[in-house]
Amino acid sequence: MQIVTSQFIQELGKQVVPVDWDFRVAFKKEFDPDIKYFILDSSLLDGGDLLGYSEDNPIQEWDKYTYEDYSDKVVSMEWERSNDFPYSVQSAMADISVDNTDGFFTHNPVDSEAIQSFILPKRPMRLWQGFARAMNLSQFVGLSQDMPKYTTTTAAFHALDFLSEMYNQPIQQTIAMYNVTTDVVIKSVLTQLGLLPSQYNIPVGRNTIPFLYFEKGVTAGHVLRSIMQAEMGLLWLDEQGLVRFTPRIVAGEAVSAVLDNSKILDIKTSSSQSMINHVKIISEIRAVQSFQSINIKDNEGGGNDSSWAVPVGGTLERFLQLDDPAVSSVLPILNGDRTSSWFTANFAGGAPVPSGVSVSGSLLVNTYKVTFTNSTGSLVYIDGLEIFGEPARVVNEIDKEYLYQPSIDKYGDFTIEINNNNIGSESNADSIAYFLLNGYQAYNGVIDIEILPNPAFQLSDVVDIDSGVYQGTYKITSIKNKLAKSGESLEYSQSISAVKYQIPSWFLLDISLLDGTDILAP
Amino acid sequence: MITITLTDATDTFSFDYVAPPLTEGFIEGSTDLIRLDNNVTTYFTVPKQSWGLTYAYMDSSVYIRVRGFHRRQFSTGDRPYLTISGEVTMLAVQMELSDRQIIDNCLTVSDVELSFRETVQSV
Repeated sequence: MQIVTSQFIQELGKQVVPVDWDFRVAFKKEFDPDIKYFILDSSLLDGGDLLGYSEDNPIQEWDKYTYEDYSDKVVSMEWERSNDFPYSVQSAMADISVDNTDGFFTHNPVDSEAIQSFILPKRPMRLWQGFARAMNLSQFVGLSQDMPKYTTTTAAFHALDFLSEMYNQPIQQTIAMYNVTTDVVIKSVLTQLGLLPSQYNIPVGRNTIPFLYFEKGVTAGHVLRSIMQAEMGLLWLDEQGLVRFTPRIVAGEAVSAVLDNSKILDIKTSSSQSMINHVKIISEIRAVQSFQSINIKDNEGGGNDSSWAVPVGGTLERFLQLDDPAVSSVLPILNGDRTSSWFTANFAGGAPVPSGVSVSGSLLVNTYKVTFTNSTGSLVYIDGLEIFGEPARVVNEIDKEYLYQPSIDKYGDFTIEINNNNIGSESNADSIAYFLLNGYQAYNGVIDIEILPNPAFQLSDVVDIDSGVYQGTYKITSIKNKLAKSGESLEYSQSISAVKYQIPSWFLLDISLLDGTDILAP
Repeated sequence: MITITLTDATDTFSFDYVAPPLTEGFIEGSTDLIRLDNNVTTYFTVPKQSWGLTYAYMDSSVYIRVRGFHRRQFSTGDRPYLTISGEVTMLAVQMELSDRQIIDNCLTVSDVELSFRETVQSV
């Protein structure tokens, strides 16, 4: 839940509430890297420094665009964010319709300085919403997608949050890591995308991956989805533009709000239930091995293979496909010791080459690139080559099924199959299965609720529901909001979906009572 | 006696309203959400005021001056300002005017309905 002022909390309890909103766009995409929060006695009054909403809101790089205020042009705004089930790399989206009777938002390239020439796709947009007597809260940070859609009187923008733009970006460098937790991989990807540590909140993940490898060029979304699936975690961009990660198991959760009949307009069991009572997990687990041979070409003394000929004064470049990815390698030495990387060469007549052939090499995780340079004065052939290093070999193949039979007997079979080589270990596979079966084996777990709007709610907030047959704690998985003019009236609504959730009381060493009620984390 | 004054960049015109009632309205710009406990929470944006006047008969000369303010909304894009004695002063309003129904050779107009809705001035 976003941190709010006491006035905001008071407004939540009032019977007549003035709503407020803010809509800003950086059509020109001007960026001021020097923007910082306003500092009393230091910043210039009415200068460029921003007034902070609360101490808890870190300044984001998205804040540093020069946004113009178009709040008075808004006809309607709808925004939503949700977590997929049971893990998620999710985007938020917003649809804003503005008054365009004067053609202000109609694209016109004639004047290159006028705003109209900047009505283009991918414009940074921000939405705030709240209560006029209290405060507005950030609701959405993102980019418009295409050109606006026009009617005779309005222009409509569709926007997705910045994270969805990042998902489509390819990673610029190959990621090869070993013995890392999920959070380390996420931070590596976000750093490659250009994010600063202040732009994300990534706690330690549950899953430790013995070895993982993603070639450069794959999309960041592909990497993050795979990691999230192995973690069964959640990754999203929150309302303030902070990238957030929730691992599979979290400690210290608490109920954010109580929703009873004084807050609820309508409540019902969701038509889209998320049940799992049967889990299949398939994974090849790699682990980095000790220093050993990772590739061998052994044709020693064996003739003149023209594909391995190094011309006089020239070079030969070859790419050696490794059986397994490797995390390190040693440059081969001509006639070197066979306990480490070596190579041999012979002249055309078959005589071994004693010296005069140099080599350079680089490990590309799945491939070793080697370049030979011949300064012997005669044609030579590379006839033997062996590269040593630390390979990541498959040490365990997981192919397990987990069932919760009472649920299958009652509701039928709801199977999820997870085929992911980043799962890390058999115990992690067991933990994932336990997490899924424990959380999703019962029907009637997901509810849709229309509530008195509260802009402070965030995904994964835990709420206590007290309404008729719906009782207990639930975790918010989806939030949809709408604020629009409807003739002389107003449309203002908030709908949330929430899944039944028991806040676990995890066993804490030196704190919890042995044989007490606290449970061991799976 | 209630005096109505209309002002824009071209003209300022005052005329009397001799046949009350002057209808004053309050536009809430709101929505009522009824909770399961059967209580109501009302959300609103910025309430606005409105006024309605009805003239059974109006001199042609008065009608033409008033009509000028209505027409200039569309030709200039600016709103007129409304002053009602004892009520409101120089408030930008959206103005509506009923059709002109001339009933005699003196061009007297009947059944004139004027309505004003508070809004903001063009920038």
